[in-house]
Amino acid sequence: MKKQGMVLAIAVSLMWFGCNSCGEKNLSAEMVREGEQMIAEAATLSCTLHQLEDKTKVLWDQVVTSLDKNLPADMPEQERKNMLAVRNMDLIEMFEDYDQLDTTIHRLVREAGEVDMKNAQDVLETKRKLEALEIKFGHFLQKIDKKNTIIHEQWQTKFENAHHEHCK
Amino acid sequence: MNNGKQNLKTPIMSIVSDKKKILVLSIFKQRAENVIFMKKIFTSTRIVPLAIMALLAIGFGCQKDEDTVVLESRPSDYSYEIPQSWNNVMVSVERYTAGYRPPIAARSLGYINLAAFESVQPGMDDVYNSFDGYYPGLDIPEIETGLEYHWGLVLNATYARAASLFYPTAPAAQLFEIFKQEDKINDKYRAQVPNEVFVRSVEYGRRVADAVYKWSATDAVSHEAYLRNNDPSYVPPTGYGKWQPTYPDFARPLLPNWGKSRTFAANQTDVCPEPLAISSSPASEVFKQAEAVQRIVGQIKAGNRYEDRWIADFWSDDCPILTFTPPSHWIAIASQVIETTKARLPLALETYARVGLAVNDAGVRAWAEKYRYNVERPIDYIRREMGDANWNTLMCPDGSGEYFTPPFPAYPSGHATFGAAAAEVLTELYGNFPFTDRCHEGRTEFVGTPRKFTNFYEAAEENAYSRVPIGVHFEMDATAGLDLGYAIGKKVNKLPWRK
Repeated sequence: MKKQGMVLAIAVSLMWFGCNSCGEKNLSAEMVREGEQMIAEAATLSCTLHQLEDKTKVLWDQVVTSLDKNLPADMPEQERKNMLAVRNMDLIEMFEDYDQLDTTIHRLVREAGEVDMKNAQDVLETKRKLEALEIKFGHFLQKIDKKNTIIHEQWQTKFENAHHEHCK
Repeated sequence: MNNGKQNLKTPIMSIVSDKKKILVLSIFKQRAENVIFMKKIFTSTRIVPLAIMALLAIGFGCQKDEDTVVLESRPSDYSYEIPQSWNNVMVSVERYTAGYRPPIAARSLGYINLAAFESVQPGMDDVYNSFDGYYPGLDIPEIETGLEYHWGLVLNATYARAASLFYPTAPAAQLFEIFKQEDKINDKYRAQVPNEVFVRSVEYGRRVADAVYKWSATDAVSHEAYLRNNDPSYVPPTGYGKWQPTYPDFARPLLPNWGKSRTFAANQTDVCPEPLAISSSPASEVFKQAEAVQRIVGQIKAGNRYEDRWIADFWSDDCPILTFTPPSHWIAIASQVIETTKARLPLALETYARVGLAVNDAGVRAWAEKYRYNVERPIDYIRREMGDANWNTLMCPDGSGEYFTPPFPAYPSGHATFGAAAAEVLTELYGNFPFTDRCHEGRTEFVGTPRKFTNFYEAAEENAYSRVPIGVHFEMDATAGLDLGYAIGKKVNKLPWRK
């Protein structure tokens, strides 16, 4: 039984090694470099998107906190709730009660609006780059497809992880 | 331009079907071989055969991937869920993005849902036509003949790209909602399809969205109008009974040139009859209609006429931020109908595209007529002619006792036109369809309790009427809007949707 178990372990190890090494052998160093570079780029872009999302959240959390403290006490509850939910400079400014707030709050909202606009532009730009990279990587995978399924899956998983991962 | 697309489906599907049968057999065969192989591993005590088998396994593991599983993906295999979820996202993004007033919101919904329909049309071209080339300048890319596409991924890519193109000024938080929606659907299908199908499908979907957007941008009047809701050079005509900016904010006229925007089916023959002459005579019809507005609003404010209050609130969708826009209300109705009927993807796409095109055209023609006749709003008539100098509407209460009036001429009602156009196309597709509109269910800031209708026309007529008890329209505005909308809806139905 002991001998049988050893044989089984050897067989499984050989299978594992075989499956993982034959594909690498088929990939040129240049291809490996190209793939790794795209994965690194995807991780950077994904990280940028997550940072922008966090930045946007923090930005408006601060505005909401300040607004909440400074809105008139007699403001109807639902209107207050709507204003705090909006998270958009143009829309916040449309509320009737906004004009009654002091200039510090006006400045805070305006500055947040400008930062948000810049963030939104950066978000769109980063997303476009990530979309283009996704397609480029898809074409790269097609080159591997012809060589080895397992290696193809490994590369795809690496890219998917990089595409979705938060900043390290 | 369309020739290559017409007869594509049959050969592609037959190839895929045959290939699939062969592949299913080969997969079963492969699995059976694996089971036998593993049995041998566990039962044999001899090293040599095992080593041989291990070597075979290495070779087996490294074999070329020629037998990739090919998924058969026909549009009718999918439910309504992808377009419904995207339309839900879009009406939410629109709500929180400045500048998307009703005609602009309608335009975005029209183009985006047209792009969605076009992106999947090659997969359902046994039933549906493409509008490629039908509209001068609209050049939809063709699929690659003989290759497989995953229509769920194609559609998702089209919606995602189109949403980011048509709502480019959305706040960052809303953009992330668009991306999350895209990722959610991509993640669902990514692992199910071969890489080349994924890449091909996503690329195609994006190219369709880009093509529709490029065409939309050639309409100078409406392109990027979310950046310019008003025309500083426009001066409203003056004269007795002519519209002027209204109390309390005296906002500048909204989109005075919108009537020159592109339409999909309607044209300049879609007009309203001359409105009633504005007259100060108590015997005049317009006086009677104003009196009705004054009386109903007064009774509602006094706590009576609950049903009218409910109707006024339910259909309002006037207040930015509070809800989506009036044309989006009809997209929301379409969403409920396709869910109730469990529509398959082709019908869901057709529904959204027809409603989208209908509300776009309704906005264009209603605005053309509004600025042709320049009829004043009830608030100005009632204050001037009826001795009620402080009279006000019920629209968008701000909590301090103040109410508003839309910043554009009254005749015809935009709400009525949007609703009638949408009702006409929905009736064509679903017939005499009883439904309950739950789109504002759970809202507490206004009366959003669901309302029941025996058919779409009844809903359209109630929607049109709702503008009277809210105090912003005369009855003639509602009637003219309904007639205009129905005519537009009929024209949208006559477009060559199906073969």
